Amino acid sequence: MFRSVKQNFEGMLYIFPSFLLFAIFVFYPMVRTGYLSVHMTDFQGNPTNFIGLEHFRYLLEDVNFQQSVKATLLFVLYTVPPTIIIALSLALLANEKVKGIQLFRTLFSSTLGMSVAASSVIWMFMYNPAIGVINRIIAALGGEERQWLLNPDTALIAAAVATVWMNIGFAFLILLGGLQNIDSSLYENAKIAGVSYMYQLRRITIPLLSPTLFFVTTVSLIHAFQTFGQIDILTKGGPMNATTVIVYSIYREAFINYNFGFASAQAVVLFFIVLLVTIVQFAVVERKVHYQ
Amino acid sequence: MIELVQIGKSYDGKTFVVDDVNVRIEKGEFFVLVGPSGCGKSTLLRMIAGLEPITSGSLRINGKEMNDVPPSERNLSMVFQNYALYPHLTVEENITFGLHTKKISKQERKKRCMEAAEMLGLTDYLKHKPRQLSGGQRQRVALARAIVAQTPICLMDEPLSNLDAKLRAKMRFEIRQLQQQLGITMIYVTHDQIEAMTMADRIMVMNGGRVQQIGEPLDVYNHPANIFVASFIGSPAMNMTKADVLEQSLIFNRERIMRLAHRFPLETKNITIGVRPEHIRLANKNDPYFTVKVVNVERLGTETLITFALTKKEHWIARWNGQCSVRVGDEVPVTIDEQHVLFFNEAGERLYMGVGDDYVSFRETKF
Repeated sequence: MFRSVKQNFEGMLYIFPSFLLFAIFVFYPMVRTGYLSVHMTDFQGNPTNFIGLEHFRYLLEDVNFQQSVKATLLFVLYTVPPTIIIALSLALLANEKVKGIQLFRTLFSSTLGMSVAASSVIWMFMYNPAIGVINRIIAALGGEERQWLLNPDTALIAAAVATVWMNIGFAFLILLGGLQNIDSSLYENAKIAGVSYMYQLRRITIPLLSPTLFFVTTVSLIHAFQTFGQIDILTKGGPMNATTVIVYSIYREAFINYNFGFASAQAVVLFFIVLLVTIVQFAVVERKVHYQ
Repeated sequence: MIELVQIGKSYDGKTFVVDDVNVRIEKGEFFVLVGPSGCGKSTLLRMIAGLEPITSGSLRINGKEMNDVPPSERNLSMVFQNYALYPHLTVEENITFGLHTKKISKQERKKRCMEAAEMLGLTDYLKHKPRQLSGGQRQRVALARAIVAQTPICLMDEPLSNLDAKLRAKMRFEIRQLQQQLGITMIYVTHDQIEAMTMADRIMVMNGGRVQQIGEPLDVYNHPANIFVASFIGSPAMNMTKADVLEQSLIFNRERIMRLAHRFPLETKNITIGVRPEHIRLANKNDPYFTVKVVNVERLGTETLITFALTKKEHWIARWNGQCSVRVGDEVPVTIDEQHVLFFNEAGERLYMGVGDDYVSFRETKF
């Protein structure tokens, strides 16, 4: 009995440092956010009076918030599937044994090493209507120049394209790692059996890569729901709120309008949306995953 | 019939990991490639399968050059060392994998799968996933997959190396039986000389990318072409010792002398002699003999392995039938018939001597 108490204490001692970090940077903010979301706050973010679920009731009717939920869902749709499909295609290419393939592997994963801010600035210049390379190429091909980031119809897509570019590095690297983990003799056996490339892809690669694909999809989804940096730099939520995703809306509510309680309520809603999506991922999609 | 003509493999264009392999494998033959790890046997097999490009030479199957023919058109099947089973497919799907490409009807596929499963005792497991099977059962699934393709040639790359000793012995027999039953040409790679000896019609011993000897197992055992083959085939290994030649005598480490009935050519100075453990026997009354001191005794039940000191530096092993009562430290008289002594030159090649019913006489000597 004495020994087990001592062992417990020892175990807790080992966990303590990481628990402390989590407590300060994750648990406390979470609890605080929940607390603030049911209060009115002053300009410094101090709760003034308890209002219950008033913020949430208001959120349901708020057209702006509905618009930001819609923008977020569209943004997720525009970024996650393209990222996965492009990264998977690149990983399949880079997994071939060709001379100098290492160079391509480095290139394809290089966006992983760039910060969101730096890449956003690069894309901002590329989208620039006057000096941007994108309009120049379109003009050279005889197309119609556009104000990509200032047009409500194209702004969200433009931001999504930049985001896909930024996220490819990470997804590519993880998927390539997954591909390289597949036993080469499985492909050799397929070679001897003489099945086509598409059959191999469908029958061997995708099923055996499914744990990795599942991981990348889940992480990308969560990531996409939490997008902020590139929106702040490229469009500041505009034009006409077309790119105001939930996190940007939270930021604006809290640090521009100083409405911390209302911002916290939005954060709580976002938390439950992400939680729900992740639960659905695990409940529905994971069933199709083949763990070895 | 498979013909390999001066087959070579090089990755960097300079050093050859497989060099100048020439062999003809007959239809229906069980042909074993045997050698230590890294000797190039698996590479050679993979070249025959088409999984590795052939650097030089020519591979012919039934007279047709196959160097640049894709694996699927070589009309062969292959069993991999790790079985290469698809973990997400059932046993049945694994067995019939790829059959659709050969334009075989669904019923025929099902029929072949059932036949193969029955032959290998897998009928109850067709709906299982590979991870639910034991090592031996997975091995059988891999075999079944090779069978259902009904190809005339089957390649196997160390298929038994992941099994325990008892199962291995059983599978040796089963694979051999299967091969004979179906009349397929088998090329089988192993590093285990017991597998090579027990299963093969002919074996090819390889070392360092080069063919050391090709022949029937017993032929290779009795007449090894060089030191490598002599020491690689047989367990316990052949006793080998370097000796100085002095006219008709061999001198071991200046301790023992051995008189021969034959003269060596004058220029021979150093040779290596080899004697199989079973050819060292207890001397009878009238035999010339030499006494040796026993260092270790291993009684295996049916036979006894006796390690004795030939010289201060070298130990030899003798294998005697039954359960001998020799004890460590005993001095025993032993003898060797000269017809069983093999000689190798300094380069390790076999020296052939006129062999009659001569004897060898050892005696202690002091210089």
